[in-house]
Amino acid sequence: MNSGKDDLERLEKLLASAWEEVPPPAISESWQAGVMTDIRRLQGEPAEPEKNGYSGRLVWRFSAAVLVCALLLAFYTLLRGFIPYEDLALIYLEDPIGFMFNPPFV
Amino acid sequence: MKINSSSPGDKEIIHRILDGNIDDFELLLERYRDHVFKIVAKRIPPAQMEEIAHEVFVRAYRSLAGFRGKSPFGHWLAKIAIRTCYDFWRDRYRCPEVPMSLLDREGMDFMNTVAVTGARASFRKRESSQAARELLGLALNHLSAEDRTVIEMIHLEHYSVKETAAILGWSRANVKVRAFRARKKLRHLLERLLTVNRRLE
Repeated sequence: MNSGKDDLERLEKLLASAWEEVPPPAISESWQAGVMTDIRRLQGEPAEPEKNGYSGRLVWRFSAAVLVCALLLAFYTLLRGFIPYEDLALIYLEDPIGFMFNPPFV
Repeated sequence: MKINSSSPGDKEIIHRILDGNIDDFELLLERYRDHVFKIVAKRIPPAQMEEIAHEVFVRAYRSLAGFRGKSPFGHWLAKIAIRTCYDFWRDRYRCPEVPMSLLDREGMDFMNTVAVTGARASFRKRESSQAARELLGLALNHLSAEDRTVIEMIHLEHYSVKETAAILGWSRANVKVRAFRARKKLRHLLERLLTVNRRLE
């Protein structure tokens, strides 16, 4: 059991040093010219906005607030009691925004 | 990345490029080519390395106006390189082409070396090192793009949680949780490989 753990630790160390020992890559001669060709082609095009993941973080920050709101709403609905066909009938009869019996385009 | 005292600084070159002297981008390319390739070579299979390094410089050019000079240009470029590699793996996992198979002969030999002798000296041999890199690549291929990137940054390159969060645009809590889980997954995978290897012996 202990030997298995030792092997694993040894393996992890060896893999970590293998990560450091990547030989210098061979770059083809035409590579740099290829990049410059693309860069020249891009000249004058509008710059790309920098992707820093801020919008993603913003979404996650608000997701907690949205979750709380959803839970509160669910709790309120449970307390009040929710019977879909009754509530639909109520909306139909009360017509709170007046669009059923007074359609705006008629 | 050696810069002559007589040669213009990065900021000066960037100003010139933004003023329309596009050919000056070649100076940056020459200066930081090896730096970018060093980052990319560790993360990307050799066949796609040049393509990804190319993409890094194109992205750098497109975002050049956003370079504020708060950190050295090399650091800024390294962030772009890491993000480009991360995007490469995300795309790759979306449409996997190669099924992950069992270890090849070299990988098995390497596992034997580790499990039986543990001899570091033999690991120093070029072939053994190559086999170890392949094994690491194989193990990382079993992780998601996110797990893979966080393992590379936190456990293999020792970036801080704060730096990793800034580069990947994740929260620090997310980086911590993912680093822990990814490490656990990798260990589990390596354990399985060792067990398979012992059974086959």
